[in-house]
Amino acid sequence: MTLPTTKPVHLVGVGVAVAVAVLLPWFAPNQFYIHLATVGCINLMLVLGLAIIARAGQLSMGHGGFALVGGYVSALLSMKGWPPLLTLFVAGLVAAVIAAALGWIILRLRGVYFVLVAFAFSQIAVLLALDMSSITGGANGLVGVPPISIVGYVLRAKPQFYPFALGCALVTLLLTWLLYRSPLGTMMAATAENQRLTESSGIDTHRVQVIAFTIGSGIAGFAGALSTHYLRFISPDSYTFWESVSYLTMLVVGGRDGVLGPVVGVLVLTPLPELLRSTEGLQHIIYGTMLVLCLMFVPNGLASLVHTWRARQHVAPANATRVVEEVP
Amino acid sequence: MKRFELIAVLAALVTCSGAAWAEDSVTIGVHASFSGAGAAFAEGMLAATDFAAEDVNKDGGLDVGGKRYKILIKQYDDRYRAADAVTAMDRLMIQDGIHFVVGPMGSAAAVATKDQTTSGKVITMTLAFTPRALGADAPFAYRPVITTGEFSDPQVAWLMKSTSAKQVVSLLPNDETGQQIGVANFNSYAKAGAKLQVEYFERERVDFVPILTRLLMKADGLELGGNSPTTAGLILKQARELGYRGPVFVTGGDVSAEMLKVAGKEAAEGTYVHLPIDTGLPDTAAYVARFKAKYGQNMNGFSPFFYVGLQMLFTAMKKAGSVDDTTKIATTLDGLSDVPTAMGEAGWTGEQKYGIKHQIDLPFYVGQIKDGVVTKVATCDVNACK
Repeated sequence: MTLPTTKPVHLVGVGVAVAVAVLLPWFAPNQFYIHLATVGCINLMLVLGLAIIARAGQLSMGHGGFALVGGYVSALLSMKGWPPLLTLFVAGLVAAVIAAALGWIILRLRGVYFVLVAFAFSQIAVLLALDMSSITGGANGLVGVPPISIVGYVLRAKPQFYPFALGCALVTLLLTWLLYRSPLGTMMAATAENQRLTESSGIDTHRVQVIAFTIGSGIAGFAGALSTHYLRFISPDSYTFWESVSYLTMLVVGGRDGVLGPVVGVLVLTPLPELLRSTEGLQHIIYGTMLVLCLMFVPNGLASLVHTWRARQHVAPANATRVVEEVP
Repeated sequence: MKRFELIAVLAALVTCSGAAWAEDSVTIGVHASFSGAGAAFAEGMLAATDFAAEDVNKDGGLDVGGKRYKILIKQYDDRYRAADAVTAMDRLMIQDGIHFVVGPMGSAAAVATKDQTTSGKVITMTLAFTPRALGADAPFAYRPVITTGEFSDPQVAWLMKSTSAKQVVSLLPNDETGQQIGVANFNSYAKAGAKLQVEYFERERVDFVPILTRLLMKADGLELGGNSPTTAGLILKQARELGYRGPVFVTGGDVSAEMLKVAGKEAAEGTYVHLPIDTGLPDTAAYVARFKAKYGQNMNGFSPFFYVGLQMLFTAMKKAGSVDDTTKIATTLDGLSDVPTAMGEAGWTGEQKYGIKHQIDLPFYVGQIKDGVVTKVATCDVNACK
């Protein structure tokens, strides 16, 4: 596989953004900002997972369910003595296996039916967590989930956990970017664009969608586990239907094309509730109004503004050249 | 140049006055679910903090070590989510530098934030009913409200003696609160020599006729404690419509007013209810009236408990002679007993049950609805109702 090429100016931009994220603990006014950045990293992984599924033309309303499964798997295994660093990956794997099995059956459904079945899965996951109280702790959840440790170095405090969360988010971002540029990514985009036509080209679109659903849900399982070890607590309320809606909102507001959309969505919508947190009941009205305005005026997501600006930059010199050519 | 100097002097004055204000104030954080189903509880907690601050500030501030401190309030919504609860608590502790918090409200929030408030030595006053909210591992967590763990045993024992019910059924929401109360009530009924059958339903359910038809056939008592006032009213109404005439117990929460509205006077007649407060006490009655006057609505029954909790906290600060040494304040708070408060003399209990004496010790009551009015029929403490 050949690595995709990209413009140097883009690389500089990405480099600066990564440098800012890496250096955050040094210039953040206090640890609250590091906490927010950590939550942002976890959200980014979840939204990227959702974006991969959307890339193949499906909308998963069960994303929170897979995060919940991952969270419980990792919490239960690590509480039995397994190393949390290993249980993170086991959690991702379990979520992916469930998604593959479920997806193989339900991804034959189109449109609203898939959305409904995925939603039902997340509800079943919550109900199982509630009712299997001897294993899951029921509604009270699991407390005292062990923190992640790497070669004896325990990631208990915020400044210790943040670099790990950032690393995970950046790796997920890089892998997603590579996936989008690979033949599989192209097949996913083609499936979303026109499934019948793609199938006519000899591509097994059902398989492509199952793979996308498996990868996206596996990432959700991993991120759910990461969040559980960060908060050191999980309960059925940790990932409800509303969390799935939040990730979807981040994806839609940021933009579904490419990896920039999820990044923008997370950067805007992770701190936004913080600005509104002290407004009590009004926050939902303000939040809702902002979302409606955003969807009305930037329907393709905030990241599309960059594409629009870039397109204008290209069109303007081209027009100028044409004018010059037309002038005798 | 002169203008520049004047601006500099003014800026310095403003900065100094700001610093002086910041030095002479104590901020109390309110960490609760202001949005969603628990908003009424959150508003009650905020109102209690507001009243406590108002009372102190109108006297010129809290007198600690010869210095007067204004009480300020900062409230954040945890949206009834554990992850948000951690974020909101972080914000109160780190961003706002707050050492005293009224909250967390929900059990999940209390458990999820326990580690951070303990390591940050932040004194919390929680509403969470879970036994895990208190413990020797959380030396800064206090609970100023009386929970099922305290009132269930004495109330049920008294009710079983008064009504001779033996086979009681209970309908509870399948959530954290419901499961908690279900287990506590099951044990209390067993201790009182009765059998409690607990059935859980999904929170959104409004039609209870099928489940009631099945359960009430062999029951001689109906327990509704642990439900929201509206749900308790709905179940009661539907049970009476099905022809159930046996005794009804609501051994938890403050549901009477709303339940009466939903079920109606006739259906609610004779129902035994848990009464967290005694409006016959002049100070409690004054608090209820004050709430009504300021907010124009009936008070949530938990609100005055937080006012009492803050009264005790302020007493501890005065005695400890500090507004920032939370270890010293917590030690002083632990030692308080028979403190005169808006709900009578208060102290702390719970050493045997939770391993730490951080559970409020106040009397509670059993009431009975007669002709649409709740009448006090027994006064209880953690040992017995009389």
